[in-house]
Amino acid sequence: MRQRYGEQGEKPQRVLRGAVVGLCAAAALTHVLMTFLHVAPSNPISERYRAQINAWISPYFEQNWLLFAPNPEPIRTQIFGRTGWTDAAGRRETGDWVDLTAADNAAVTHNVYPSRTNQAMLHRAWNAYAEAHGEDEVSVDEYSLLRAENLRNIATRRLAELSPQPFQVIRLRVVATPILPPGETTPTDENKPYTRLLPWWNVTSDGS
Amino acid sequence: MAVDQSIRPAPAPATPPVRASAGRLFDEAYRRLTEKPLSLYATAFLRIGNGFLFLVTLLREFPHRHLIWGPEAPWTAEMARRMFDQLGWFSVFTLSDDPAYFEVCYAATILVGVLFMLGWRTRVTSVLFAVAAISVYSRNVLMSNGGDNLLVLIAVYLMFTACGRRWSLDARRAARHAPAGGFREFTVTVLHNCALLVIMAQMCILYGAAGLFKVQGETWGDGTALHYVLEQDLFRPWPAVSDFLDGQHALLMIACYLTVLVQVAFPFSVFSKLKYVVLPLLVAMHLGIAVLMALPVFSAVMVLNDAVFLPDRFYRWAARTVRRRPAPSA
Repeated sequence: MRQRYGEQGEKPQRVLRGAVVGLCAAAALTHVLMTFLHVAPSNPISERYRAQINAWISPYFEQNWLLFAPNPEPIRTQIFGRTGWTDAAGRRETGDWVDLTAADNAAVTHNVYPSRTNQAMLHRAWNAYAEAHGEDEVSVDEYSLLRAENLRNIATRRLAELSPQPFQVIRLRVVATPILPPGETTPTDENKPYTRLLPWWNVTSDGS
Repeated sequence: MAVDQSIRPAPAPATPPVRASAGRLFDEAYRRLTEKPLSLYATAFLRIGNGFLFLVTLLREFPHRHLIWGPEAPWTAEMARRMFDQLGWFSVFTLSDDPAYFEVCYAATILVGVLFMLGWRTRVTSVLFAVAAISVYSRNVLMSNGGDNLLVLIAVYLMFTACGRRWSLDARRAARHAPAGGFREFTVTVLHNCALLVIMAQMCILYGAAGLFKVQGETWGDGTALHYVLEQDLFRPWPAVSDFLDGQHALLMIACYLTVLVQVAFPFSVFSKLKYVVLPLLVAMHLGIAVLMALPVFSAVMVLNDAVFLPDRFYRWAARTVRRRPAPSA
């Protein structure tokens, strides 16, 4: 005799089992479909159901698979910082520019498993800031505010370790040097280093 | 087995052939979903592996824990809470600013990782593990990487699997008792198989997306992408090796194309024998990333979860092989 779904057992039991299978399969397929639509490039379906897709995915099913795609970062970033303070006579003083990236690079060299405090902290903070800010360096929303605050706190902390005296303000200078295409050694006008100077930020040297 | 009868071709189909085959397909899907939990060794391997790598991260960053997730973090708990207001994340670490509370949470997180790895009361522990993974990830999103992202997703999916049925303390205890049956077991089986399917689909989406996004980039197209990767200061722990490889233009081009090809091909090959070609290539690729870019745990998380596609007979064979090998003399 041909077996029916839910195999042996009474009818209520069969119905219950069928419902479990239906519910689980539907949830699984919905999740796969939502994930696909979220990850895939914008298309008519994902545009129409943008709100529903985001509600399903965000935040716990966030997908971030842009690993070196579409292109690896074609620049090398160096971040410099300097401090400023008011001396006893009320004069404004500034410290020298300090390379904040150098310590990170040194910590990664010849290290099988560097800490993310070196490999990610400052670099990712800068990228996140740069994504959220135009060259006017104005924070337009909560995201950009948080990212500016994060970068400021990291820089303050690092400068405090290097600065001989307390300070009230800091300033960052970021130099982006394009990586030349393979085989080329002389930079052209198009790939000269580019410097971005951020405004002075009020801080206290204990990082708060 | 009685259920198997249903998939054999009926001697004289009364319904038209097309409908009959569609019905058979449905029957077959139903049988596979409900008969028994599939890939129990693979899910156990994922449980142990993800638990282990989670612990490795927490122990590696132990000296820096205050700076990344704790009271000294530049990304303060208050900032994390402001981000949660926007995005709806959750973390146990932001519930209190008390430094002692942080230490307790950190210790608890490590303990949960150990218990999950050992498979102790796995159903409950797996929920705690997902909470722990999410808490660590979301406390400082800007310092989490793609490996952490995948670990969170798999942790959530593993809650629904029976990943404690093999290679676990639960399995040892269960061996002393009669197996449970009935509706409860039926539900466990269906949930497990659906979650397994989701994990597999997740890996396909991951590689498919990573591959297709690269196709859109011109440096992957002209085979120079890896040159730019090798020149990143924070990802060249062995400058001499990176410089040497950077000079091998033909080799880098082949590696570029192979990377994109393997990633795009991933969803189409892992359900066939072709996976025995694609998976070793991916292992090689991630080994390269781990060593040359100093990203060992990121690479390990990726490779580890690819192993969901290996059949149980592979794991049984591997376990036998390991056991048969004489213990190394210390």
